[in-house]
Amino acid sequence: MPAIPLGRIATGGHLDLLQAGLRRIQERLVRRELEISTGNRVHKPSDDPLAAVRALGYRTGIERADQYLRNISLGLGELDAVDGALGALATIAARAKEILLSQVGDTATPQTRANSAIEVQNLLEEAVSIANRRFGNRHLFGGGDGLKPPVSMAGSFAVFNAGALVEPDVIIGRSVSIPRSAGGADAFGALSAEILGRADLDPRATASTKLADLSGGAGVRTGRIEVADGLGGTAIIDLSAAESLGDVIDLVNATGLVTASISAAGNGLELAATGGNITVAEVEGGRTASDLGILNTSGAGAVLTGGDVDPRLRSTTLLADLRGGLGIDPAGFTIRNGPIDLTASLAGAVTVEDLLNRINSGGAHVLAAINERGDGLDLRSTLSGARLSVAEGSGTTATELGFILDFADVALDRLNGGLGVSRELGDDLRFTQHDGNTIAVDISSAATVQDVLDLINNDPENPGTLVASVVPGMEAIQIVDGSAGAGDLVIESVGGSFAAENLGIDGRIANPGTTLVGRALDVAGVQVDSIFNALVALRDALAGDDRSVLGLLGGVLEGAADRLLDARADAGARAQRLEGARSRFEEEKIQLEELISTDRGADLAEAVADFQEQQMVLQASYAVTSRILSLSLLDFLR
Amino acid sequence: MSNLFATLGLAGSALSSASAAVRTVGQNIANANTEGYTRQRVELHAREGVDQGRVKLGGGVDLVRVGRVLDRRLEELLRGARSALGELSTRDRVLGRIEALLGELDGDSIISALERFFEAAEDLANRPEDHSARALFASRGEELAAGFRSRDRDLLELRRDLEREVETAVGEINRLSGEIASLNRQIVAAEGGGTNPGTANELRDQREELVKQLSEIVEVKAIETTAGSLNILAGSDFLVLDGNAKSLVLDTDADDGVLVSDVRFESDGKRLAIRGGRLLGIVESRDRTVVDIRSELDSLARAIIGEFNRVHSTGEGLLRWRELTATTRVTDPSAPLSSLALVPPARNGSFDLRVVREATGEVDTYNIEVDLDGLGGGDTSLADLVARINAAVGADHPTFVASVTRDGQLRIESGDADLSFSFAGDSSGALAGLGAATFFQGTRALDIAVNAAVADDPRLIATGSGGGPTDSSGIARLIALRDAAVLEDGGATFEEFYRGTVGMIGVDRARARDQLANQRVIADHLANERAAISGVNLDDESIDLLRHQRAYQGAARYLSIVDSLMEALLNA
Repeated sequence: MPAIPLGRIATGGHLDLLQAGLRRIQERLVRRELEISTGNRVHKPSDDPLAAVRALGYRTGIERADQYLRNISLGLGELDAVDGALGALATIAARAKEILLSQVGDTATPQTRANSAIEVQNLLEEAVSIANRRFGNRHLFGGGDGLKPPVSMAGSFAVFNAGALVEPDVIIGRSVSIPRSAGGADAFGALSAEILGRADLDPRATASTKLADLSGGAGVRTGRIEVADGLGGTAIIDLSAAESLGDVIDLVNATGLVTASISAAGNGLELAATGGNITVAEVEGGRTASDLGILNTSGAGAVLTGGDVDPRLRSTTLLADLRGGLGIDPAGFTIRNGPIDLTASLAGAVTVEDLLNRINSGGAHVLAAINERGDGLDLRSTLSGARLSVAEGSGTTATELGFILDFADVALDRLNGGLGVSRELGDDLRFTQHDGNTIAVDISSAATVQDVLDLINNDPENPGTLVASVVPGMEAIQIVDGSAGAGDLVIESVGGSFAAENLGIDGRIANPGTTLVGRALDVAGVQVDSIFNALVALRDALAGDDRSVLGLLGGVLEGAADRLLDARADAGARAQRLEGARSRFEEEKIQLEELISTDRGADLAEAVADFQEQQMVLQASYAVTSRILSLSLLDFLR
Repeated sequence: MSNLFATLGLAGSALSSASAAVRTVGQNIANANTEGYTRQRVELHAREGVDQGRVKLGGGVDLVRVGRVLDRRLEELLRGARSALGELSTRDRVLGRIEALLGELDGDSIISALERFFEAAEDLANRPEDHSARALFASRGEELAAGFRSRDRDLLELRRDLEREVETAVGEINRLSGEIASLNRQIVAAEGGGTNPGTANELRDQREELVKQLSEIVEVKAIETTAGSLNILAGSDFLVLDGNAKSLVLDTDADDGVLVSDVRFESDGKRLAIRGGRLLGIVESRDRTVVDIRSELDSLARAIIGEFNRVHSTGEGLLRWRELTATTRVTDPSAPLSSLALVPPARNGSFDLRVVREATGEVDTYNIEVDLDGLGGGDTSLADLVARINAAVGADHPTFVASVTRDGQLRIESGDADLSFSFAGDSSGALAGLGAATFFQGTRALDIAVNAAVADDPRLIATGSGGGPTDSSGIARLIALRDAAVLEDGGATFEEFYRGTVGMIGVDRARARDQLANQRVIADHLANERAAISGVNLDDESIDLLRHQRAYQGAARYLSIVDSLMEALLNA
């Protein structure tokens, strides 16, 4: 409002003032009218920049909450379908158990078993079709390769598609996601649990080794290091742009202070100078030198040999660089998976990837990959109902790769052609020594042969005179009794267990004999612990009328049912998490909408009151203006 | 007798000056609503009489001149206020236009396009195998890109408009200074070089009005000479000197795709000092406001292109590539990649090239080094990269060929329908920078677009990382960018950055509007003050009219009395 000048007022100026006043009132009226009609106070960012920017953020928040809610309801639908499928599989497992119980006893005949085998085959087919259920146009348990059915029949076996191992996520919040369905591998145990391949393949460090691969894949925190030659020369070297050990070597050598190279041992860096005492220190609390294994602040003379940088295995790693540079015997090996034999030759294979390609594309239903620790190869089977084993060819390839295990590391379940070792509640084995001391051992906690040996050797009743070990060069256990006495060494099963017989060490060695050499045990290959495997085994045992196998299948079926139960519980927990997220986002949306209306929205009561007030002011102004305009001295002049 | 005749003369002077005064009042009333009119007043002096013996009798009245009622200091302030008003209203207008074309609060905005794009990404993550979800994602990407392009084009057009306004303003200045110079000549002539003031009132009013108009366009100083000329200065240079105007010309040059002009004097090429007025608002908006907001859009577009491409180039969709022509055209294929203006810039590192035999699923991985450590001169150029790829892959797959196209693009062909390829683990950023297997192409808001190859075949959208058609790990990495603080040195996400930009424009506009409102108050106040001094009040004029009417009536009455005196004398 311009100040009204005192004193003289020009007629034109007076009119301008009145005009400006009317305009201002009208402008305010229009603004209020807009507020009332749209319910919004802020229409352009400049109306209230702070509120506008906040409102933009809130709006984004609402849109995101909407999206998350959509994702969540999709995820819930999917989990519902997963639950249904797992339930149906559990029913099949229960039915299989019933069949087993009815056919294992003496009341059943070979004929009823043959009939039941047909029913089990039907159950197997049904189980496959349930595992292949679809959700939308993709398979529920299909994982990353969801357009292909995760399970298919290959002859009488079920094959799991390895692509289903990658499990997609549902995004349920800022940087929060959970697996969208219980993956097939978890749900019905699609891969062999036991993994062949345990050797640390120890790749050599080379100039092209990536820094990110060092320390088993933990990488190097790249920064600056300080190098001194002990003769007065120091250099601060910035390694932040280095990608490989070669880059580090180049950057160090560029200083001209010392000469860097890969150490003679081939597992790290080496710094050398013509004389003096080389030291390497961190700069500003960095960890670069220590990550590279060359941190040495006291000095190591003219040559500083760094520690083992332990590079991770990559698909591009050369086979020749494995085992610290010793390489792998190219002779090859044979993979036997159920009915399939695959002879993997290493001739012409240069990289780890070449080797993996040979194994994976050979049609043996196996999956070879670099293990999670990045130090070795895993070999797993995807074929349910068959066993996977590896045999050496003419050389030592499989052993070098770790595909053939020491007998001590073999799982008990694989002994005796895969029938395993019987274990009962309470003690399973009893040893009677020369001196009459008895040692009772419970092996129910053992998983491998070595575990059994440890349990025997470390038993509190064992004074240390009884030693169990693996017979060198054989797949058998031997027991040596070092105690002095006149009695025989007796080994037997107790408590209804057949552990001694199953381990091949039952028997009596007459005094003074000290050593019982056990029978060689037939080690079966690894197998897939799945409901499909259980059904295939049940079918085959019924069809073959093999009652000894039937006796062992109860546990197998129970294991499969337990696994399904676990998967269902897991799916339930995920669904609960999703429900929690759903209510949180619904809540959040309401809050954000409230915030928007506080920030952007018009106060209707105030707007209407002001609108009315301005209306009155406008009317008054009109009245005054017209009154003033009609006044003039000219009217009174004659 | 002679005395009586002198008395007649006295009455005559009274009559003529009263009628002149009435006429002046008439002129004032007539111009009550004329813009820039200055109220006039007659200046009367009592005429010196003749001696008659020991006394001196008055000789009547003289009309000295018709003067203008004017406060020169106020006029100067008013001109300054007009300059400020001109500048601020231009600023406000331009910011208002930018605010409207960004259109952020309601409807179709960059933020909502970005939101829709990410929503489509999440839907795609839920159904990566679904072709319609892929097509939707690609089209949302194009929508976002188009949002950038159209806004950038609107801003470019705004800049062109402002350039046209500069042209118009300069034309106006030339016209006004020409007219002022010509009025200078007329006024000096009419007033006889200052000897005859008051004879050019209307011309002076006109001239003042023109100077005011000129002030609105560009801030000037006006200095009146004793001869009556008004010299006009912009900065320290004369725009008008006495009867001469110095005309201005445009010195036009291209700047970032737009023609931009400097304003210079035609005579000596000196740049016009623009200290205020509409022209300042136009030039500042053209060269600062619009350029700044475009560079903000560019920063955002560049970040989106760089970050998305970095992720996308190392993923895998439903299809792997069989042939690929990268989108970036490199000017010099033998120059190190770090010396090129790539988005994102390339750095020392490496990437994996995975060649897949589709029939068996066999994968051959080749680690391609991108050496940009600046040591030993061996930094990788595009040509080096091509040679390195060929050397690595050629031995295993003779049909696989990398090359540089005529336009300087990286091209890779597998040469075998059964052979496809993809990339992984690019720590150098070279693939994204070169535009190989990227989602977006372009380097800024002006040219951002969805990579034509991907738009044509959305199966190439890298939703996974090689896990299979329903693997959504690749798109999940893209979605993670939504909350990644990648702008302002890790201080802001895409959205936060753009929200800041919108807020900045809002604050600028609000400030400009407030300043404008304040300036208006000042200008109104000054105008009122001027009106109070120089404006016409009809009531005043009516009273003056009455006053002069009475004077005339009195003089006429006096004349008739003198007449009757003479008659009496003659008839005696």
